[in-house]
Amino acid sequence: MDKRFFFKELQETLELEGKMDETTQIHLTSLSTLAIIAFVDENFEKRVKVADLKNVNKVADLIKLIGIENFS
Amino acid sequence: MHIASIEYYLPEIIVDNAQLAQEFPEWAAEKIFDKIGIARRHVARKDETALDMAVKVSEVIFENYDKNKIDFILLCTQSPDYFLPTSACILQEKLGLPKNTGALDFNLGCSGFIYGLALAKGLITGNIANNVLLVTSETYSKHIHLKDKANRSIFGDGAAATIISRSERNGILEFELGTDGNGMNNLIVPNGGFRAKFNIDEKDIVDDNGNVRNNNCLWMNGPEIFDFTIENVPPLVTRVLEKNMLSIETIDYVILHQANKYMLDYLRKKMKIPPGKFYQNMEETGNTVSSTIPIALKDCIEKGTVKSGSKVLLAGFGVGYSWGAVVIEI
Repeated sequence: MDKRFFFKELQETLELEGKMDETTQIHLTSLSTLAIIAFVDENFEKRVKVADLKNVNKVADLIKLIGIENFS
Repeated sequence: MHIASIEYYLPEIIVDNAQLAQEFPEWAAEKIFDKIGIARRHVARKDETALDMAVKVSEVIFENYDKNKIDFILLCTQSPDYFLPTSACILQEKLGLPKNTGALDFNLGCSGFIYGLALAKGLITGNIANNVLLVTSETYSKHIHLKDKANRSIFGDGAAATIISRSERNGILEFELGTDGNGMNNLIVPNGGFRAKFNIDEKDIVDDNGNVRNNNCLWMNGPEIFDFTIENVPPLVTRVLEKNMLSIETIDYVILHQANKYMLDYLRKKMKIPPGKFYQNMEETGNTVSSTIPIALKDCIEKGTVKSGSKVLLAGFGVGYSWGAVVIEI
């Protein structure tokens, strides 16, 4: 997936405002954790576990979790 | 055998999103509806129990069914009046059913209606019963902390009564059931049993979203439950279709446990079920746990969404973890 497209989609999923890039901090609540699980499953056909998302503090952490090879 | 009749009962007290938004100012009424698809939920009075609701809904179903034909009661609840005696035994007496009626409770949540149908089928097939009264009745509101906005928004109280009768028809087809007790801590009331007794001094804990809970109350780990659901429900639906030698195309309608809008939207898309054959309506009731499926089924029959001869896939899943699915023919 194109990273710019990913940022746009992620921003909508998390209902965040402002510019998003890999350094953007993300604070996952219960609802946004659920939204990320659905987003990754739907777009990457990959299951991320709730426990793995506990270590996600910024967008780069999420990209790493999904797998850098899945981005262009 | 077939499902001969269904009725449901919702308590009189209604909590709408505006009331929740008043109690939790950070939780806007529109946002609640957008996220979970619930506008109102019914809540039992302080002195109204799941057994009281079971009596009420059974009395409604007996307005058009001879109660003396019932020879077995199955009562599904996780909010019993007592540890003992069994609520179903008290229900037999309150309804004035014959003393040769078998009766038992079973403790399941959102998979409860499916398991109830499976038990009823077994009782009838085994020549143990002819007409089974299956009651699902739940008052989760009594388990939920008053300051837990997430769970108060999602769950509603309610009861449903279903009569399953012996007949020439094959109205209850093949089942697929499953269990994974490893998920026990993700939907639990920790205190109140004998592992950890109710503790009046239990300290409140506030989570990241501002929900207040303590160990005497219901805890739900929403993301873990969602994770469990997306992992288990699509294969469950596939397996029950295979067992019945059917496909989504040959099924007339699909009714899943009405957990919340977000989860249902996601499951429908993932399983590629057309919106026209997928039930989604919890706006007026919320998640009534074991009663969401019979409430939905009654709604579909009344609206003519499903008709005589329709093949309907039902699936329930949740606390335990426990899950089950079946195909019925109306």
